Amino acid sequence: ETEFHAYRLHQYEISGNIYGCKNYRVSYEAVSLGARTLRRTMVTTWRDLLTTDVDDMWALSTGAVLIFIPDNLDELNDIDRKAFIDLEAKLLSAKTDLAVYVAPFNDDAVSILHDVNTRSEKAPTALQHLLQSLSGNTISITSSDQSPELPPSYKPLNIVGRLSSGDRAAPTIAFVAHYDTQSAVPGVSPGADSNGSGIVALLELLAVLSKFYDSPSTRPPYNILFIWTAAGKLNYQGTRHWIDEYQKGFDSADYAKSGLSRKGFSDDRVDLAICIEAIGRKTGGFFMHAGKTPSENSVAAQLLRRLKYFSSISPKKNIELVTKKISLTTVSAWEHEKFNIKRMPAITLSTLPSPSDPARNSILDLPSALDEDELIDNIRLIGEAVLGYILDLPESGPSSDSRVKSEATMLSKDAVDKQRVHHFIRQFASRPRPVGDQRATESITSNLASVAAGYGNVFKSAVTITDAKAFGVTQNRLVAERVKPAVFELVIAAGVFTYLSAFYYIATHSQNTIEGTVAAIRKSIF
Amino acid sequence: MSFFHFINCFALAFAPYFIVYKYSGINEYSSIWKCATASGGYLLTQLAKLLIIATFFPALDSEGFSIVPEFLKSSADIIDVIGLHLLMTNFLAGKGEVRFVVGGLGWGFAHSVAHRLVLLWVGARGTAFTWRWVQTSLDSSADLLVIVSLACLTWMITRTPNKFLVSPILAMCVFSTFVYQTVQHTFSLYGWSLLAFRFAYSIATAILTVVVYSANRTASTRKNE
Amino acid sequence: ALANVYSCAGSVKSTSPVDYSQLKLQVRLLTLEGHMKHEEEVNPSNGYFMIPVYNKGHYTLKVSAPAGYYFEPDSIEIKIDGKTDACSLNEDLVFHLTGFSVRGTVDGAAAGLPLVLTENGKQIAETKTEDGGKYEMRAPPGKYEVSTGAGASECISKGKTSVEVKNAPVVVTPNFKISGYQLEVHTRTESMNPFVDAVMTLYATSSIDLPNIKCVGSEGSLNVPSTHNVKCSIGKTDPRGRLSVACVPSGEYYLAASHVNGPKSINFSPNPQKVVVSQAASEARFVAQSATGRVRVTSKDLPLSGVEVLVNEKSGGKTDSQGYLKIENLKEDEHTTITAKAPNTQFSTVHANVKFPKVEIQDVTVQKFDICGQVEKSENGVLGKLTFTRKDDKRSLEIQPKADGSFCQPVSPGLFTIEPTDKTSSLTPRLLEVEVLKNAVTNLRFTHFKTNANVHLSCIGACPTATVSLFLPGQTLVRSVKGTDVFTFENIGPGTYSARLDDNGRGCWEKSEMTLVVEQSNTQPTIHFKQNGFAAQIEISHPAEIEWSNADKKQLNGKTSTKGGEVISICVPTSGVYDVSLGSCYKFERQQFKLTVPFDGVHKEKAVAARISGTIDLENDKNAAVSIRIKSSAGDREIQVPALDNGRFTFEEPLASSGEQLVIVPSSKLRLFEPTSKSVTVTGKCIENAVKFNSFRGIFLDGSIKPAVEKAVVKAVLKKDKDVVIEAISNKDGAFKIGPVKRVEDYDITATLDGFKFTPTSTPGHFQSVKLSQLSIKVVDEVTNAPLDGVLLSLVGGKGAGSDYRSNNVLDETAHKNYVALAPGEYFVRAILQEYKFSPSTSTIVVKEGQHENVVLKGKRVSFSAYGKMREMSGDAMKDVIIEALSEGCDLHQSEATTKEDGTYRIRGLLPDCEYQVHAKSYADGSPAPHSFPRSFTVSMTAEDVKGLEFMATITAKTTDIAVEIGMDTLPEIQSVRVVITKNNNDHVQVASVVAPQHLHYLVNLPRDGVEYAIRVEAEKPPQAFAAKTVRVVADQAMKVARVPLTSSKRANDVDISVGTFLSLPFFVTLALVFFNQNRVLELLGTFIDWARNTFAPTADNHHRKRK
Repeated sequence: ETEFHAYRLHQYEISGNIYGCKNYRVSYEAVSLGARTLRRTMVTTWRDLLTTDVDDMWALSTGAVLIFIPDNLDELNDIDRKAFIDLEAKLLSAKTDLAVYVAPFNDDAVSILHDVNTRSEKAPTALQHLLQSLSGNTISITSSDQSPELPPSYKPLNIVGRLSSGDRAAPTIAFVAHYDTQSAVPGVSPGADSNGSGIVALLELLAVLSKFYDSPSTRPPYNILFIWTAAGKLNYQGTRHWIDEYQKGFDSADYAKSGLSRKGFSDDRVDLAICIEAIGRKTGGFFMHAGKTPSENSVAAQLLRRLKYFSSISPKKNIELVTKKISLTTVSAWEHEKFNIKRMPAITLSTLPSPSDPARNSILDLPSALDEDELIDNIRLIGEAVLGYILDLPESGPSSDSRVKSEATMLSKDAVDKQRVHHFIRQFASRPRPVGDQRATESITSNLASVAAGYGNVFKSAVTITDAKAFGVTQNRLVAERVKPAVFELVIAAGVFTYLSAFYYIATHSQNTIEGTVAAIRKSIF
Repeated sequence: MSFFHFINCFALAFAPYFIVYKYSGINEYSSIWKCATASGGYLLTQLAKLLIIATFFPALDSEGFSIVPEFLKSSADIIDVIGLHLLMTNFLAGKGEVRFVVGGLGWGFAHSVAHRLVLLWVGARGTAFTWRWVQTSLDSSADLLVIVSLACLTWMITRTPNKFLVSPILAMCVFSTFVYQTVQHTFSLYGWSLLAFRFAYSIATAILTVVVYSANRTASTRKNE
Repeated sequence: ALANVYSCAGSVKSTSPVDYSQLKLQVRLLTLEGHMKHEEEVNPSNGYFMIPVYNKGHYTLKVSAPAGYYFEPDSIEIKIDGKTDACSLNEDLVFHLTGFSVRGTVDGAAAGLPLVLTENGKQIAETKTEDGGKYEMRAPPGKYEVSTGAGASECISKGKTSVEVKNAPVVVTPNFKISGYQLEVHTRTESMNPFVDAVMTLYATSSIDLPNIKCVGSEGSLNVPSTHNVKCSIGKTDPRGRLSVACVPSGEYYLAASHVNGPKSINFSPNPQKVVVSQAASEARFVAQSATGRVRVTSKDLPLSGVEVLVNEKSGGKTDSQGYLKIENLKEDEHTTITAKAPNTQFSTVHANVKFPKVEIQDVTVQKFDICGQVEKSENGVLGKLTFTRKDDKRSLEIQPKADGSFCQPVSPGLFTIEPTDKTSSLTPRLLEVEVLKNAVTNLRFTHFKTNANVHLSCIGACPTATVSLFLPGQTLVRSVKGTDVFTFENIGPGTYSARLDDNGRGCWEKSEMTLVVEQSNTQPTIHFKQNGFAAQIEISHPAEIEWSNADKKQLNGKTSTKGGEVISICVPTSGVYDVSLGSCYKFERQQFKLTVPFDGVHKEKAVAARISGTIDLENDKNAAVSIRIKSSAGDREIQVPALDNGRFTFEEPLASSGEQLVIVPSSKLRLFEPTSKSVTVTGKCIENAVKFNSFRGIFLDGSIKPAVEKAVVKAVLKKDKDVVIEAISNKDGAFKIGPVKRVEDYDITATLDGFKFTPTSTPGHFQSVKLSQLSIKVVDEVTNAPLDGVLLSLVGGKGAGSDYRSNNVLDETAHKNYVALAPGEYFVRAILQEYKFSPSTSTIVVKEGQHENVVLKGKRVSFSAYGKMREMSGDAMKDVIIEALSEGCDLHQSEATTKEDGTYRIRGLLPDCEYQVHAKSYADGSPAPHSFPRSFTVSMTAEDVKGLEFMATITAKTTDIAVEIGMDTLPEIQSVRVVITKNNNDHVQVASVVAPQHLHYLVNLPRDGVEYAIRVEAEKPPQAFAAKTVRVVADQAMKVARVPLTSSKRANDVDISVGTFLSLPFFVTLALVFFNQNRVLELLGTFIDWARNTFAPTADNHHRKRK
């Protein structure tokens, strides 16, 4: 039998309604698409799944679905890519009790599929059918269920890096990015752009801006916070938690553990929270999402003007403002909405035009899809704009006098370092880290903390997930065994019987046959 | 796949021994007890062999398969020959043929029980259906042939003048496991093809033993005349 | 705002009248690098010039004039720092037109002929001709002669020509011609060093008329032909042994060299020499051969006659009465030694020091005379030693006589005293005077004598332990004995001793030192010391009366006094506690104190303050409340003078302020004092009657000013003492009141008011006022008519009255200046402000007596300035940074400014239509400029100021970050690892532990200097789950990633085929063989045993066989 790794369909629950597949145990016989799937495991390729209508299937109560998807998602050609996106959409919208698994398409898959398909085909002649039903082997798929459920006490961590300007009354700029990933199949999607690029942008900005905070003479009069929030895909739990803590003055116990003085930065006046999501794709510019068009001299408006100014210089980019009214009831579309709900100024910078863009939580969001140069340009653009704001440089370039010319950008060409970005992408944006996968989450939080500790001082705070629930078991080991039909056993028994009878026949005549041969040999040879 | 499958395999593996015992006329000459002593003898020799191997091959836990150490290890099977010889000469009674057949039977039975019973118990009862268990059971019958011919040869070697004829075939029998392993590794024969080879090999040895036996028989009759 | 503008003014002067106007003289201001900052023409009428300078710094001022005009100094270097330089102090920078050029040519002369310009003998200038004979010299106006300089080998025909310099460069015509040539004479000794002061005489056929050569008729001399009957002495050779005579007319001469110096003379070869002078310079060489000298023999400057002299160990004759002897044929560098011989005397040997031309032979002096004699042995066989002491320098010598007691000691001449060394020995005579000047002394004799001496002590109460010591005259201690009341000295030789008693200051003795005489008589001399009380040592720092009295028995008291600063001991009859009180004009720390006698150690009392007193003669005017103010550096004190004891006042001054000057000023409402104030220097001692004032009642003076001038300030200053000043203000009808004054005449009274001149009338205190003429100047902007701030206004007196009047001052923002009391006449007014041009640049104004002139100057903006700021990122200003604007286009015009406290700067004087690079040049203290964003601005100036050139300081240092990726996921069982980071030869950088699931470690902000870092990852806890791995990384880029893969330590062990395994096959085979053919094996075994038996036991076997 063969054993392979499979990734479960997403499962989470936000404010009551449940998404994705409920359970994860599989121990049913594999059956091909279209057959009755009650207490069966329906095995199919992603293309077949697309073409057939499966809505009624989702309604079934027990059973499982195993879908084989191409193992190298990078080299999908365009048509497949579009088809795959449709598949994703389908999977996202599915709500079922079945255990839905996705596995990469390799040679085991081929043999399994072959058996399953032959099994379910109608044999042309009755005899073959009989034969088939007698000796055709059926595949039974069982899940080994080693990875445990999510412990109730599991709380993902918020990582907060801080560059302090030294005096307490200085205003603060906060960079925010959620670090978890989500897609139809969270176990397989590294989420490189939808928010791997956010994490990398924050890390790179921390590295670049920390250089200014080393010596007192070049220390800008602003504190800068870098907040990597947890469970962003679960309606931005980390962000909500941080804001609650921030406004409550942090009397929660978790902070005491993290060795931070109780006050922490509750007296930091946050001028603007800049949420960064998905700025790693080659889209020639990005959008600034905000609740409403920012007023003339608000920080967001200034930042927008600076971004427009800098993007009008060397690498031509266009920056657009997109406003979307914030709904207090439904799930927040963008991270900044959590801030706006609590009357804190915030915006989100993203190449995604709308929150429901399919590319946002897609499995195809792979590191290879990232365009490193575009990401570096975006990071330098954001860095220039923010530096310009906190250093209060004249908005439209060093001098407005027509007669005066000078270079405009403060950061030197190699300030945003290509090698460092590549390192961050490889470490933080190339492995799936859904909130459900406790081990991956803990690994990324501890590594993020080690980077933040390197460049500034770091604080951690455990996030309590409210009115939402994440589910573990994002991946599982499936064992496919070839099972002969019970009746086949009789066949074997017959085989054994015939063999034994032949043996009996030989044994009984062995004595005289041997003597005969011996005698024959003696006569013939000697 | 199921318990039924285990029964089948078990039968397949051990039935031949009973059949040979029951229906090839051996039971008139010697009792079941003789076979039991043969099995006991097998177990003792295996124990001795393991002790000796332990002294000569301390690091035995290697995974890789390399020709020379395997060959040396299988040379330990000579001890089987000695064991068999001792067993036949002074523990068994009756005519030569009876002795070596009974010895071979008992020895073979013990051998396949030692090697296969546990394997079958664990594997065959598993749900997944593979042909592997059936093949191992068939193996046991192939081994029966080899072991009987081994017994016959060990019997003859001390009694025939033309040792040079007997010893190569004896060597064939003794190094049979070594041959199987090398063949398995070099030609990567698996499953049914390996089984076929083993049958071919055992039948060949059986025939050769018969030929040699007949040659030996003519010599002894000539001696009697 | 007022830009600090400095004005460097001065004038170009020339002794001779020069018309500047057509000369177009200009004065230029240059930076050190030669950049031209500013150019100003000189005022044609009086040569006056004034140059504005806008920035502090290092500049040079130069006059640029047509060729041929020389100025002294030709450039003045000034370092403007606003305080100490010439311009800020308004000193005049004067360029004197000192000289004009004198040019000409010498026909046929080679280059390098030295020419000199002399003014009746005194050399003014000198130069060398270039090729072609051209020359040029500088000279102030006057009459000169041009002639060949010293050391010129040729002479010009007419010797010299006169030339006259008036007020322009002049050309010497006609040109010169060459006449005489150079004669060079060299004299040296055989050892090649030059012979100085050799007298040269030249024998010629006819006399030569050359300036410093005198010729006279010669009666001929040794081997000189009679034709040369004229002898000319041409001088002596110089220290280099050379003599050169210029302009010797061509012809044939004979030259003779000689050197005579008293008895010493030196002869030369070849002497004389024939010399021919023709077309070129000629040369003559002499070598000094030998010399004769004289030697003298003396003994301590007294000549010894009749002493035999040895020259090189050969007798050279006896000295004459004066001690002299003549020695001939002394060669240079020959080693000739000269000495003398006489019995019992040693003479010094001398070398004849012949160093042509000097021949010196030092005097031969007596070194040693012998003194011999006999010493008698003492009864215990000890030979006493003798001491010779010279009278003149008191040096003494100790002589050990020989075994037989005789001694013979050579000594240098002089007077000696001889005495036995052991003072206590009884050798007599005790002392012997010996005179060894002219000759040795031989017959001296010494013999022995010994006795004992006693000293007795009578003291009050028990005698403390004391010591008595005997001294020989002249402080040499003979012996000291410790004891209580009787002291005996054994075996004392004859002589007068002084005995001194020392009981370390416990008691008072009548006499503490007595003389003890020991003669050659048999009675043992004894002396007595008598104690009359107990001593107490006191040290008082200043003179005071000391009264002491016994605490309980008051009648036991005494008084003594001390001059201060000495330890005195007071004798009190009995021991016990005494009250001591000090009476003195000084205040002591403790005026009374208690003393317990006897006590060892010294009781010290230090004075703290001294009393100073003085008197004022008040003519017993009771109600004059007089107070004295004492002004000192520590501040002023006021003390009241008590009315009763006729004005005597005292005050105390701490000793610490000794050497300080006190000024004592008496003041009173009614009385005046004479002198008005007196200064006293505190000497740290009491001063009685340090100062004496007398006083008298004061009177008041009423003064007036006609015609009346209100608010005039009237000051009356005492002529003798400037400190006393009385002021008053005149009211509207010009009257004022001054007083109290003793005599009006002692004060000089002045009245001052701006715009008026007050002349005192005959009666003191009354003034005549005259309204002065006034000139007020206002400077405004031509366009906006607003006053210009920081204008430099220069007013120079023209022809007519006050031509040397000159005033430069910088106006404030009102840009308005009033010149008062100007002498009527013509004045030049000139306004200067950076970036402005005033038209006309200099205007002349006529000032008339008593007239009020009003002038308005209009300025037009010409160049503009750039404003900007430099700040740090944190917002604070960056001060003292020099921001420079340099334009390549407009011929390197450069202007700079330093950022002020708030970081702002203004670069002035930028010319329109020039493109300037504005950037930070450096810090004010010269350290390199900070990196800034933007690095520089390129500004193309237009006729309008530029604002907002903001610089921001940015980070400079380049750093490297290291990221360590530890491959912990390959070995899931590892919980934590330790990362050790060291640099080059492993000096420790950092050790950190990384706990799973974290597998990254960062080391940030390392200097990017190419240093190699070794990153070693090892297991934290002992079980070495993996092999420690080291990765090396060089810090040369912004980010370096170090990947550390971990491999498990269990090595896949290959099957080791040991020898033993090979044995297994043969073993099995033999086992089988043995098993299968047992019987054969048994047989084999049997044969083997038989064989073994018969080989090892042959005898038994043979025996056995024999018996068979």
